[in-house]
Amino acid sequence: MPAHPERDTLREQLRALIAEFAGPEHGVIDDDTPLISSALVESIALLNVALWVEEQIDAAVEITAFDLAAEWDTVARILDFVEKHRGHDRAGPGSSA
Amino acid sequence: MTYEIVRYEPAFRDQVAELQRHLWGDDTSINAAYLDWKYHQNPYLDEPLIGLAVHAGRVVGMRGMFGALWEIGTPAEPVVVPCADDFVIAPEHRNRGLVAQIMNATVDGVAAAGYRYAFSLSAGPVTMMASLATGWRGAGSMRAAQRKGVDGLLTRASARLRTLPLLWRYAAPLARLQYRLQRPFAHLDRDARRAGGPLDAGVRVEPAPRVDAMADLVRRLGHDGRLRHVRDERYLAWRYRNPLYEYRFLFRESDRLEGYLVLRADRKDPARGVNIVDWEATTLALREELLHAAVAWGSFPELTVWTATVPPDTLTAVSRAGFVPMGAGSRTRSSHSILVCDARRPRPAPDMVLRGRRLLDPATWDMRMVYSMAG
Repeated sequence: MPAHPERDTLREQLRALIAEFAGPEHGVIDDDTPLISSALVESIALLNVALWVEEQIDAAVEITAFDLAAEWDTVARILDFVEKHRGHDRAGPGSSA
Repeated sequence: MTYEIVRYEPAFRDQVAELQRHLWGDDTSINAAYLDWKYHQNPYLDEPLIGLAVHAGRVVGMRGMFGALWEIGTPAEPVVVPCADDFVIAPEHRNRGLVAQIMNATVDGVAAAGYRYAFSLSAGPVTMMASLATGWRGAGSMRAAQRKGVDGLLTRASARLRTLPLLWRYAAPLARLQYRLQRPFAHLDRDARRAGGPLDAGVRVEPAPRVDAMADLVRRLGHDGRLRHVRDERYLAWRYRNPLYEYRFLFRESDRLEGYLVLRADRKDPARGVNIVDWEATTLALREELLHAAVAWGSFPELTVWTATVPPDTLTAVSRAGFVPMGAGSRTRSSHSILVCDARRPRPAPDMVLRGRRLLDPATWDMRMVYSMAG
């Protein structure tokens, strides 16, 4: 089984992904910067975050099965989500399939 | 940039038709006809419930809510719930924080109009993410299943062009050419004429709904109390006039209508394939007969059905007809879902309940594709 990237590595990847859409005017994105509630991350950026999460956990995410606006509102919470769901079955988190 | 979020007025009609070239299609006259049909001629809302983003006097964003009459419970109680759709922002105004502004303003408009809930049934991946980010919640996937046939030459060429740099822009015109040369229902119409006819008691294919007979059949079949559209004469007479789509109606009758199956093709993007948007019959055997006729006569390259609320016996028939689940990879990218929003947007959000039934429970819903604008 391949080793998962460390949290620090994931953090840098995720921050780079978010910064790509947010632009430089939004400043530094730290672990607790509100992403969704502040509209820093919306629609296409959030879709890309979701695809990144699916890639990290190697499973489909049933994106409507949890309160996305709350559970993914910061980098720290998204990383928690990834760590919690890594290694789950192929049906993925939130799935009833 | 500063934006003003305003409610739609008829003076904006032409600008909306122009803006919706990014979503509905290139032909602004068809876009205007779609706007008129969906919002101005809607039987359930007197005035269009549409939020617009305006910058320097120009409409640069839109989120619509079209009216829908639902029924729930036993005996059934009717309730109007607006359904969100048609979210678009002009490309040069994207990634500027406009998404949340227009989404929230439109939901505020729903609350101001006196409605407690709004539903979203047709959201693509981007709109779904935008909705979830602004407090909408999911009530389950529609679990689409698809039957693949053989693509025509131009359709295959169009699909290939979509993946190529620079040449992708020619994919849609090529698909439209395919549509003109080989309309999606050409096989169905031809083979149905061969198989049918006035002396044939089997399945008939027609280009228009039999409004009274279909509404009568739905009433005779009864209602199990789950949340569904009121498919009465008023609804059916309006619903199938959607100018973006073309429909075919397969009817099975004896002395009265015993079953129907409705197919739709997308006029502007025939490469999207054909969908089964509604399907009712008095027996499983008749449901199978209708499905078999659609598959055998249609010769469709792609035929799609939502299976989330199909009864188990009918699901077996769907599988036997060659349909397989879609979206085996990323669900984020591929699935249609029911989304629900409490228009008052309380925090924290309590469980959303309508007439005693939980809206986030998939078992509450009796969903058909025709309730959404995928149908």
